[in-house]
Amino acid sequence: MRMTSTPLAGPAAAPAQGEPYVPKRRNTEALLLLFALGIGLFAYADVGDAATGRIPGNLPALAAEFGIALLAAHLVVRRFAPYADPVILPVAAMINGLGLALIYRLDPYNIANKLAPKGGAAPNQAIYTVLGLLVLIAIVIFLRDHRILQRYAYISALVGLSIIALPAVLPASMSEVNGARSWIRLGGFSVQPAEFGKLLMVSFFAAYLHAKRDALALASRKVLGLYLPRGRDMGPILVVWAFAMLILIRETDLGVSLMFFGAFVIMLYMATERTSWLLFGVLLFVGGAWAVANMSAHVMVRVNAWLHPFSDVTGQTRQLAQSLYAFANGGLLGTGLGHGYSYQIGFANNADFMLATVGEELGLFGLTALFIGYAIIVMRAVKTAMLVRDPYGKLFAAGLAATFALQVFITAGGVLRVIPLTGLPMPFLAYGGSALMANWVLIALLIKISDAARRPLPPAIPLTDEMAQVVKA
Amino acid sequence: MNRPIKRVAVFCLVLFAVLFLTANYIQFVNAASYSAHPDNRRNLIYAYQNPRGQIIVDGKAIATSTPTSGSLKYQRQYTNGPLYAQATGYFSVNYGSTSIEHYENPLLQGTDPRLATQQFLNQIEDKPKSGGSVVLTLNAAAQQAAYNGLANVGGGKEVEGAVVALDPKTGAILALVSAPSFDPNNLATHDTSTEAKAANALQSDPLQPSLDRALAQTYPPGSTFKIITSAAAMTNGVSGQPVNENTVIQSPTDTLQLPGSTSTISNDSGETCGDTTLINAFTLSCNTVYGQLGLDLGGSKLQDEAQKWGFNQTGPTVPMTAASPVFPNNISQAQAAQSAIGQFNVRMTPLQGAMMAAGVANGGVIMAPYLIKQELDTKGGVMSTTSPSQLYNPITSDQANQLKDMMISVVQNGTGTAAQISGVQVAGKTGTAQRGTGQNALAWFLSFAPADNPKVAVAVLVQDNDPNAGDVYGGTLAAPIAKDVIQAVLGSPAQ
Repeated sequence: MRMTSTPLAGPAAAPAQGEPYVPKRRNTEALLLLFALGIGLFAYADVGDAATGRIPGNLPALAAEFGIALLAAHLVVRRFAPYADPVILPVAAMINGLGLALIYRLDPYNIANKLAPKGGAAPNQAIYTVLGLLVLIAIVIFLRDHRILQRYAYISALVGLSIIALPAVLPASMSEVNGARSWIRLGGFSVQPAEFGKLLMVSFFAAYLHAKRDALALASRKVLGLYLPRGRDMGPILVVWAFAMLILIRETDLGVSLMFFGAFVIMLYMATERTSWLLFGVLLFVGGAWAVANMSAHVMVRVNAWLHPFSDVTGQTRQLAQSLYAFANGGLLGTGLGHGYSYQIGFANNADFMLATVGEELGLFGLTALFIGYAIIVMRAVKTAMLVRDPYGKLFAAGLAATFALQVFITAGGVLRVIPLTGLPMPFLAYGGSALMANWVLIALLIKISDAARRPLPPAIPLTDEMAQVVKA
Repeated sequence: MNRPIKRVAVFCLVLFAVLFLTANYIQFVNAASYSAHPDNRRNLIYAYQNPRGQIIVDGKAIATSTPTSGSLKYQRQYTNGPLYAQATGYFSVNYGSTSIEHYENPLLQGTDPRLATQQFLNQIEDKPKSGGSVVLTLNAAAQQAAYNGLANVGGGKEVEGAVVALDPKTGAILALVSAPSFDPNNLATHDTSTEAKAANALQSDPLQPSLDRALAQTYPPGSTFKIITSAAAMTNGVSGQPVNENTVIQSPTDTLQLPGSTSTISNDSGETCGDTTLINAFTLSCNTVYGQLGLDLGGSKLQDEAQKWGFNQTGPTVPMTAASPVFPNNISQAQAAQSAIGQFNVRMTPLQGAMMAAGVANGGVIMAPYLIKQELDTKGGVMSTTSPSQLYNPITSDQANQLKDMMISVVQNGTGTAAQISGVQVAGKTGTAQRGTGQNALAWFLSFAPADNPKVAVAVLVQDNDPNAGDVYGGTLAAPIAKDVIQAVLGSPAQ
């Protein structure tokens, strides 16, 4: 991977000392956005054609609606984050558009079986898509510098922990959906707080680890070739571990705890460069998860379904078995949009199990393309982390990348039977307003950080130590 | 800090690689096994996605596909379902498929490789995929006569039985009925509860309508087996003397004492037979004479002869595989005497009975029975036509002629007069098999006609449902049904 060049070391920038030229790549972004819009609209037209034999009549209206929303986002980025990474926004928009088309595709079945609102899930998701883009626009405009968030580290932690823990203390009637208590439901409105919580926690981890990294990295004893952390430095990891376990036990939600704890351990490792922390963290999680799996009937059921997906095809392993049938039926090229039968998965066919529809109707090729899309977002975030100058920004961007990658892996891996199934929605693809908005916040943050990363420094300021470090690395 | 970030990036890529490899495994490597899982409803959906080919009898479709509004897009419908149930079988959502529906599924479904080119062209022309059709050998009139005969023989009471009619010259199956029958439409419905109700009713019916009595069940042949005993006598001779239809067989008049046993064999209705010609003993169905022949020939010679007719051989495939007829091994003299009159452990299917009559009719050659006349492609063009083939040749044409004389005599002067048709010479043999206490007696009639130029061979089996009923004679219960079937075949314009 050749991503280690500093923002100053671009080919065009090399000779100039005074005002180095860094390409803004805004036109690239505009073209890619047009392409993403085209894919989403084409998928939508294809689904409509498969269902009714006609191209949906509202296609021009939708094209205008999303076209304007994306154009607005693009113009705002062009004005307020001109050096932002040009690929992140279009790829997210493409996956979001594809997700909308797939939700629309599953709507007829889900409406008939009362798994979606009367008017369908797609119109709701379309509203949340636009809202998500508006939130992105607001963040790009009003968050002048991502380092401002560093100041609110402890508030972020407090709010993040509270909203993640909230479903655990709410009565089950207000928090339980399909066995997992990871929701906040008020009236007809439901939110998955972990989606916002993960952003707040990653911000807090970045700030905390930035402040404590020296103590965590250096003050350790060598035991059996491994540098073991000091007891007092182990405090935070134990607290986070205990917290992840608490979520797991109370909310019976292995996915959120795995993502949450995994992100923390990875960020700890990035801050300290100590493999021992990684090992320690993995051991803690595996041990804890094993203990919980043996105590919690809900988790045990998930593990059994993972090991024996065809042991109870009409009961507890039904959804997993159905999703495997869907993938298998898709084969290499897929059945084509609207020609598959993944809707038989039933509940959550347009959320946690959305990937099965991708696999069946777009085939292994389409699924691979989607994975590449997710991987591009992750790698662009990683690149941003390596380019950005401040350590908080580095940890924050890398933490967001790791969280995003973990969420994709945990969700896709659950449906593809790599790991036990947990209740996380596929980012941008799955039906769910809160998750979608939270993911657009994540993209907005990455845009801001990447803008800071690629923005040329004013020439007068000499290189700081950290800059030198970046160059060295 | 960039080095650990790079490592984390590699870690993330590894996660994606794992997802990619797993997706390859599920969607490509292992896809077939997931797709074949019985719980996978896609198989059904695909099975019902295109119109299934027709099953055709005498130019009329008896099984068709009609469009529905449900997720299973086509519904199988059977015209005259119960009449043809044994031949068509059923094609059910939850209970699988049987008979022609099962054996010809690839053709009917359209997945037969011979249809590949046509399906490909259809796809190019954007025409829906469809199945090929199957033309059966059945004769609609004969099938109806056989069905009506079995339905009415009980006088309002449902009676178990079977009829198989063959074209003796080709082996084509002209009638195939097992009674009581069932309506395959009830199993082909897409309404799961109706379907389950029908399946449960079939399961719990004491008369077991889903049994294929014509092909899959074996019964003691009773006196019809005397055809084979006669052939064994002609082949081997008795007491060193050659035997023909006019040879006098020495035997007791009323009762044959079986050696090494307290059992006896006696004649029905106390007929007196005694020393009489083979043809006369056959005409009157003398048990004492044929029991004596069994003693004279011995078990192994009887078994050899029976095996030439298809006993102890794998049952023919029509394409449903018929049950194998059985002649027991290593039997004692007493058992040989009983076997010679079709009792003890001798068992055969009604199809075997029809094949025996057809063999006599066809100069000693038994043609392989078959139910499929033609296979048609999706456009109705003939893709294959079954060509008749010889299956067994147990007797010479001379022996066949003598047996024919004997069977003509049965209908003219003997136990089978109920099968007489004016203007047509009918040959036949009655049989009545008594089974153990509490089991119902069986009436058989094997026949063919016209004797000089046979066009149809019929086996009729009727099983009385009342174990305490009096005599169930092949001549009175079964022969009239055979007569109706023969008349139907001879009256058909095609024949």
